[in-house]
Amino acid sequence: MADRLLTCEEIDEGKRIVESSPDCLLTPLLKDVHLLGMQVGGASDGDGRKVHLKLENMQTTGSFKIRGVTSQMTHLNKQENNDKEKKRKVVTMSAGNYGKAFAFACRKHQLDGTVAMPTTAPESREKIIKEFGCNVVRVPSHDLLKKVEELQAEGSTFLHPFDDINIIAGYASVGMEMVEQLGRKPDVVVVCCGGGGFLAGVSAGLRRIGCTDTKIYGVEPETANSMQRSKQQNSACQMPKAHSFAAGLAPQFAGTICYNHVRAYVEDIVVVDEGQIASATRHLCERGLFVEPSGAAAFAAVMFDKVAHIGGDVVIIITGGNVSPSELAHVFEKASS
Amino acid sequence: MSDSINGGYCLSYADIEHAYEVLRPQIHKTPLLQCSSITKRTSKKIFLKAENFQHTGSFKFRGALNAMEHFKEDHRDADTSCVVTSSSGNHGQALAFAANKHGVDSYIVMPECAPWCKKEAVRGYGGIVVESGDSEQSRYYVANQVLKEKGGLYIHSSRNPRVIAGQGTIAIEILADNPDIDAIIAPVGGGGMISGIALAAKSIKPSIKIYGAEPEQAMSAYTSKKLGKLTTNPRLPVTVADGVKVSINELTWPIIRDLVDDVITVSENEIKAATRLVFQRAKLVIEPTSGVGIAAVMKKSFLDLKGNGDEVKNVAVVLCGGNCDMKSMLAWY
Repeated sequence: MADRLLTCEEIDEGKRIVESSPDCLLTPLLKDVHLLGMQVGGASDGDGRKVHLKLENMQTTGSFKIRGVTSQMTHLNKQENNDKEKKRKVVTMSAGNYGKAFAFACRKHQLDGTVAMPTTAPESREKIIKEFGCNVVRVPSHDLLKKVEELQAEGSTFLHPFDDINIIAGYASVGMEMVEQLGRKPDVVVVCCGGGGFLAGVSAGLRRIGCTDTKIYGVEPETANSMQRSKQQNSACQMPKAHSFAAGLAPQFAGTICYNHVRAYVEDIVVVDEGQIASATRHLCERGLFVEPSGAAAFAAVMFDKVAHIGGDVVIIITGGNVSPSELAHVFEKASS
Repeated sequence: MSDSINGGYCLSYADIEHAYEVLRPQIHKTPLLQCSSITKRTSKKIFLKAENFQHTGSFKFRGALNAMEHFKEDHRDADTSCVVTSSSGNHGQALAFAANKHGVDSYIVMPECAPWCKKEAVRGYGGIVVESGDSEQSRYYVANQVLKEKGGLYIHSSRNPRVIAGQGTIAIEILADNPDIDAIIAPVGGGGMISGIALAAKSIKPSIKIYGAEPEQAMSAYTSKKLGKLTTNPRLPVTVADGVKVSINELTWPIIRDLVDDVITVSENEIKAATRLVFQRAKLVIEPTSGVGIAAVMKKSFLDLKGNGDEVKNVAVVLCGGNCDMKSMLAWY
């Protein structure tokens, strides 16, 4: 698996699965948002920069994750089920958007799902996942992998929340869709980065559709920059102390397959701080878009001029909107400007 | 295209076309978004005209700017040193911004109970806030006092042909983006938006259906159509849809009477549920007043409205604004 990259066939299959699934929506590309009064960095008037937002917060289950989950489960169901009487059992670990999409899709794909989540996860997360009919098991963070292995031994198939070639193939559809919607090749694409699955998929999709010159940037919180470190060290690395209020962007390691794609296709990884993420979240909310902090990180990078060589057509992906107004009210207090 | 609709209204379709030419370079052409979460809950295909993305956060900017663009020419012999209006929020912000663009001072009379963030927004755009009591009478009294002291002219949020023409440009954009729209529904307060939209839309596409949506607590358009005569709200409405508390007036009523096919009313709970739905599924920040239109299309009785048969497949709902007061929303969200 050392240098595993998606093949063209795998990317095309991922796109086909996503497009033919009623669970995955063609989300809008909001064009020319620099004309909608959004602050998209300095000198935006003079340098001919045009900024567009790909609105994955409007996706089914409120984030892009459903595309990856749909691809994973479609591939799984192609395999033989040894126990045809019962539903196939699957397990994952995620208190976040992946867990929600997973639970939603288990019901659609007739799977018996279990989500392992840390004891520190909010109760509201457990409630949402149980409402979809999924089982939830809570363990301390450091025991998550052990619990997953236990369930695997009992016959569950483990679906990794981000470091999985089928997930990444599902996400590639976003890279291709945005080009079709824009009607031309973007010059720059900016993507939020947690474990790196989405960044990997989007970049692979962009290259597949012929955007060889497009500069792709990943954005991480400065307190959870596992992918930035991975790029610096030339290998996917762990970061046990990763943390951020943008919890979706703070897993404790960068995915290996994810890193391969980042190394091959991504120009650079930049970081933003908590105040900047909060400012971006509030800025978008004031202009009519409901975005969770993790989903606003890429916008924050452009808003605060963290991305070099930014000009021409810039596409920023808004990755999710799973947050409540009361949570947002707290976030706005952290805004730096 | 015909501008042969001639019911003796305070404006013509030509006025709306002209307004669009003037406004086009200065307003946002807001997107018409497809929304499957809401479509799933109705038997029509729903499109959202996202005026929450408009300058100053609501469609009111169109009307206010059109009024300011023609301000001096419309009032050649009058005192055009400043403008005055009374507004619970969105028109006030829009007028403050538009007046500021033209170097004219603006005095915005707002009820004391208006959300703090709306008053701050008016100040942010360069407007001067003058507080009044809650009732319509109190607002007009204070506004008249300001006119006496400062001079200038009153720009009403809907009783003004230039304002109505500006709002009508919404329909021009909707039909330009999607000529297959069979019906447009919008919330109704003073009726400036619905009357502008009705006049423009029916001039462009005579077969189109136009529906108004109101809170049960503030249903002047519904009552007026039922009784066949202009009927204002009997008392100050208590509704979460703070943008539509005003009643329709003698300029908007004739157009509503003749060109709006029907009006539907929705309960407070329906408005709240619809607003929550848009936040949670469409991930758009809207104020509760925008929820009125969404609540309307999700009701079973929407299908009973005049002319809303099976041939009406594509329905555009105007999301009038996104200036929501988070703090007060949290109380009932």
